[in-house]
Amino acid sequence: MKIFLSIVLITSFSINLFSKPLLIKDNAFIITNQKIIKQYTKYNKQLLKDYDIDFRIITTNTEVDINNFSNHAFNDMFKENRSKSGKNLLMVIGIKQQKLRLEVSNALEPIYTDVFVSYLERKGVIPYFKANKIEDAIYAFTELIRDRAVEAKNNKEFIEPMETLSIGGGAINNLELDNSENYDKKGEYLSNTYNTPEESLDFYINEVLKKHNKNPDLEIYTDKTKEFWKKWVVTEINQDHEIHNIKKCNDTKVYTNNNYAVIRSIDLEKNRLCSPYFFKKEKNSWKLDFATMSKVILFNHEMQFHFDLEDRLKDEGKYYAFAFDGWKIGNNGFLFKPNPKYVTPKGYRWGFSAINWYKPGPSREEVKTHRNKYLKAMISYIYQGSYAEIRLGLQQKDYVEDVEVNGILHKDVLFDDFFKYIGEAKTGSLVKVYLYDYKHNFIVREGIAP
Amino acid sequence: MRNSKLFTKNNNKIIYLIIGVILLASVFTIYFNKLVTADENVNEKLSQIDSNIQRKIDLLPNLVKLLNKYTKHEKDLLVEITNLRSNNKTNFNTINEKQLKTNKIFTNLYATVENYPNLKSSEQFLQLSSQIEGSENRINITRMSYNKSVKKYNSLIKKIPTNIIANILKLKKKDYFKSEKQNIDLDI
Repeated sequence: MKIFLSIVLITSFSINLFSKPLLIKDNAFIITNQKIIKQYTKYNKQLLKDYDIDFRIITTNTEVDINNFSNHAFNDMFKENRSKSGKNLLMVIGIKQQKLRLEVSNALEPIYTDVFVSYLERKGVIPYFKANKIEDAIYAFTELIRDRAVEAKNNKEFIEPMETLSIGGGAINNLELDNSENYDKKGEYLSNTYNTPEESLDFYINEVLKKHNKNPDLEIYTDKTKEFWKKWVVTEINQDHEIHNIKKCNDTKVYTNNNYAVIRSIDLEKNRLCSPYFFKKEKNSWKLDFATMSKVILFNHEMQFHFDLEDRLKDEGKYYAFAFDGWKIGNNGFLFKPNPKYVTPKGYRWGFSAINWYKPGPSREEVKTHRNKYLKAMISYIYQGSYAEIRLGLQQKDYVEDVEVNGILHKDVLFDDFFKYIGEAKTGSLVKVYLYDYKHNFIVREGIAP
Repeated sequence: MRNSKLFTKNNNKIIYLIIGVILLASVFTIYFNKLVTADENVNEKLSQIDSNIQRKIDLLPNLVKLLNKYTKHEKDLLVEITNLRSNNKTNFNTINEKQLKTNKIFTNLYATVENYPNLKSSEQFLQLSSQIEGSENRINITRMSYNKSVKKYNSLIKKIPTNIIANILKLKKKDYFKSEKQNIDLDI
């Protein structure tokens, strides 16, 4: 009897433990991009944790009226409710009927009114569907829902907890799914010369963002940015948000290095909501380089910017690294003020130390006798905010193999030579260090010499 | 000795009778309350439908105002809207009638909107449409919910023993709203 009871208890416990409600019911089998879905899931958990909002998604090929379907689906899916205060949202994507509906529970109706939901759908989500970017649409919707929740919490707009129920709140819109990539790129073609990065940014704010100009061929963009915008969906809500975020930047400065410039806040640790803007001089005009910004800069759920540690110095990213000299990059990509105790001491050019190592093969005695023949460099310490960290991205336990300085590749460099070559790099030239990282992956770290 | 006198044959009959009456009264009360609850539920749903129709009617002046920028409307329409807004009687027939009239006005106004593509795509109209659609959806959902309550009520007044109480109280079967949208094959 005891054994039987134990089995029953363990089974019921396991069922409770593992039966998590589905966040996305993809009945129409349209969701394929797992990377974005992973990001959505992370965001979704944050919504529940911070605002007690249980947000789910269902895709369907039903032919039933989508309003009726949504209400039934809402009641069915939220039987397993995660919100303790009846705050539930259901995004319904009707593929066959080409309809999008957000079903809103009673407790959230004062926050997500019909008019507001309809506006979000039309201006912030449908453009992604028009470009057939369904996962991006889901992610964008989650972001927009979160933004409104932040505002509602700050303004104390949330009402008392209620029973989970929907009496038809929300809004419906046409999806207009399209594979042709002929989505909204409307906007007047503007051609100007911008003598300074500030001039370029002002023009971008007033003539592009404020006027909802989505033309990718504007002369305010670098050539690569033009190509980037052609594949990227821009919504009016995105543009309005960008204006809103720029307003938070009130203590900025322009940092210029040859043909590259960055406008950023002076205190990067304090003003993380103020994202930097990259500019490149092309055809004698300062142009916005969103192609690089999109690779290098990431945002967390609070819209704080940080760097993509993998891609920060790849492609043209390395040409903008100078603007962040003297800042320490944390493991999560956020910038911090370095501890004065650990900044680069006087006399160091790059700001790192190394110890020696040798490849297995020769005996210890042989290595001791012919040090200069075998000993190579392994990075042992990087000073905080140093050029080695910011511009070259060197890391502890990097085992140096080759180095390319002033256009010359030096293969199999030894300890002393490494210091010699890297010390000889001309200011503004490209330095490449070929090495094995601590995981024994062969990689190249490259950056612009100070 | 006193107890034995109390439980004589005649007295026993009276006690059984009293217990029987109490039991009967309890059963009656329970089923009576069930009927009252079901009836109240139906009335509540009906008033919800009414308030949603009212919500939709309240949007009419905004739509007319928006349309007035493009075309003028007859005075009769405004009088009709005023009458609809002031109609406070809430029973099944008046609500049904109110909804029919409201729908008719909206259909006519929307037909006019079709002639003005600029108006149709304007942000103001899109916002108003989302409110109107929202109200329509709420009316539809509450109508379905009302029908469910009526189904429960009607089956109660047919079933034994509530049908006996319903007969005594002369409670009558309630009407359903005709379903405009069918519920079929929900792929949830």
